[in-house]
Amino acid sequence: MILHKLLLSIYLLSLVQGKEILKQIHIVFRHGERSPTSTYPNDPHKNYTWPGVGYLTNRGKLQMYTLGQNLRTIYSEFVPKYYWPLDVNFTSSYSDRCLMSGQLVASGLFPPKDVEIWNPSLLWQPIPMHYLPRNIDNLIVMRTSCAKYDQEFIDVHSSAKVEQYNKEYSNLYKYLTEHTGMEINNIEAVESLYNTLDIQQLNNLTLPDWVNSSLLAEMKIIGAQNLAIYSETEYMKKMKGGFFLTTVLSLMKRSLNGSLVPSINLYSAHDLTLVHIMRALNLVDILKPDFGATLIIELYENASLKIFYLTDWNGTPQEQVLKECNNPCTIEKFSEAFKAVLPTNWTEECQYT
Amino acid sequence: MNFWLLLLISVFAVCSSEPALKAVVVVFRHGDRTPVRPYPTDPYKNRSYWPEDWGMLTNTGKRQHYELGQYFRQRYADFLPEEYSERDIFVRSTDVDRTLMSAEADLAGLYPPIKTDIWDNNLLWQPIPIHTTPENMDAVLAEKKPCKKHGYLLKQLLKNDYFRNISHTYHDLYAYLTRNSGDTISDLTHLEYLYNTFYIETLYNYTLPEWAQKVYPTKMKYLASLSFAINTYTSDLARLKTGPFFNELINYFKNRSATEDNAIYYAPKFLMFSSHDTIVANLLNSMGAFEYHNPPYTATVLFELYKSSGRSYVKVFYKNTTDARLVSVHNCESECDLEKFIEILKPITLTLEEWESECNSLLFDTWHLYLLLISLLFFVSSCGFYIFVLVRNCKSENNMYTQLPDEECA
Repeated sequence: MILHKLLLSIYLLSLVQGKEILKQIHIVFRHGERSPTSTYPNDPHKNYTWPGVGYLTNRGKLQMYTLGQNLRTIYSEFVPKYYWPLDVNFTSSYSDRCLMSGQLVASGLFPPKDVEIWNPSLLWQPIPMHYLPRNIDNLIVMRTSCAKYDQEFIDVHSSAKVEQYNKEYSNLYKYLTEHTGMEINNIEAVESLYNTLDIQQLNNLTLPDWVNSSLLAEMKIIGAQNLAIYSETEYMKKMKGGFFLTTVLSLMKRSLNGSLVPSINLYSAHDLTLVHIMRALNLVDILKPDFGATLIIELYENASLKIFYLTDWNGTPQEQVLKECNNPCTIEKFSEAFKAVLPTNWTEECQYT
Repeated sequence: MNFWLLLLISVFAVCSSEPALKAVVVVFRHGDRTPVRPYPTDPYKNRSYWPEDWGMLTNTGKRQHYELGQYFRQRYADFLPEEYSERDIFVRSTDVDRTLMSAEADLAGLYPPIKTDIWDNNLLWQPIPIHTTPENMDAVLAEKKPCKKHGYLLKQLLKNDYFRNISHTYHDLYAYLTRNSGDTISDLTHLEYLYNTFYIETLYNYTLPEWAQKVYPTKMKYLASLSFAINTYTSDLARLKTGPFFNELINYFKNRSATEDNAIYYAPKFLMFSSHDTIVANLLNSMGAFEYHNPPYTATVLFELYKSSGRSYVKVFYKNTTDARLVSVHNCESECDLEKFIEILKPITLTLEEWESECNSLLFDTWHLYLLLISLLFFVSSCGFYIFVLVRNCKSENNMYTQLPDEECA
């Protein structure tokens, strides 16, 4: 308790000194628990009734609502009591599960108060979710066609690294192929199978005997390796997570210049979005984000940045110190340190020169 | 005995087969909002007069749409399952806060969670995805994707005698409004913006300035409502504004009409479109069913597809404020055969590809075509004349001196 008070007073003191005044936040989160998007021939649960394909489960809904409430607690000083559309922006991916997750986080973060209550028997208020069509969404989906990237992605698949993976996992592929009744011969197929098994287990469906926890743990790592090869090279990092960072930096600069840009920016995203950004920031090598995993980039009045990561919807923010930029990490320092992964003209950089 | 009874029952069943609702498409305007933009001399231009930022949905607007959602729930109680499924409904909105929020509030009224939809006992609301497209890319619902030809045709329309006469007649009114409001009011659209601001201010019990009271609503009313008709005034204008929407509607109805009830894959049975007054007016006017007025908040056009003994037909309703009223589509009364509905709308229906190419074609109309023909004719004839002169000169020159072999005219 004393320690808590001490910490609080240090925090307040720092506020007074004008060093640590928060200016703008960017919060990227993975959607909540979803139903499987695939099954396999020998799946004992293939006839189980899920809510849609790749849809949020009720538990997933609760996770996202809770994440919104948690964010309200974390940012109780910064996020205003009332929802103010000009100061808050939600961007989602096109996918239903992200659109729904966004609405839920918004509901947890902005339960209507006082004059906001429009229906006393329903303490919820509508908050808009914006998104770009999938084929042009570089910010969240990050699957926009890009000639040079697409070629590098093909090249990665025939690289020594992927060949090494395939060699290393050949026995596993054989084992999985035999038991699932479907050909599994690459890390992507392993990831997809892992996702299905993981979700089934989370929903208390008994997994078949050939699955055990060490197998799942190994498959999870392979899944993370699969997500990482989408940003295997520096150029690939630049074209994916780098584009997101460039967009965020530009919003931050505008905010510091006094432009009216939202100070609370939320992005309802996918696992790959987080992996792309975390890898561009050189914070992880491989990562398989859980449901509701959240990355936060904070901007302070003194133009410095701080980054936090929550491992899931109920996680506590862990500060992520950038090796390349710290004490403090100013926008200027950041732009210089990450120059190689910050695109200047995305469209042009997609073309061969 | 049994056989006869069965026969009787089946004959009875066929003859009296209840028409079955196969699909519903609703397009509505958002709910109550604040003025989009106050005018320069507006006594209420200070943000503090308003509960929300400019152009935002208010609590009243949220309630209006919540109630509209409840109305849909009641009207389609036997059609739309009470439990939400993405296989039943698809929701699309223009990419504007107030329409996105209206759709959310509407769905809260339509789908209060029951049974397995309840994810939190303390909050009887559930998230439902709302799809959208940036306005400048949206030719289907927002009708904001730029179309050069529409712009050109509209300009031409406003130059015709009727509209020129209106500009003439109301010249003094335009000048009066411009002088007093501080905004340039020189066309129907801008007049309607101003009318709308006056309307909202009166709705919020604010007293209009005296100069405004002299002209609002009576003197401005007709022009304001006329502004809702001009974008679809002719068949060509209508096609370029609402063609992609009707194309989508017709394809969807064809698809649903051909779908068996027990099909495994099917399009959702209910499409919900959240939009604006202009869109509601454009759709009605394109169908020859627009009675000049300013579509109020939550005004809804309802397209219902029925099937009865193998026959598919469409009923179109307009829900202005109270209950939905049947409208006839270019005089196709109450139960309009789907085939006939398609036929009637054919002149104003086009695919997005066709829309794109028509909007960007340079030969907008016969007038342009004539111009091109005339200039072509002029070009050809002047060439001909030039050649004629050249040849004659050569000939005449030939008479004067002996031409060298490599010289011109050879």
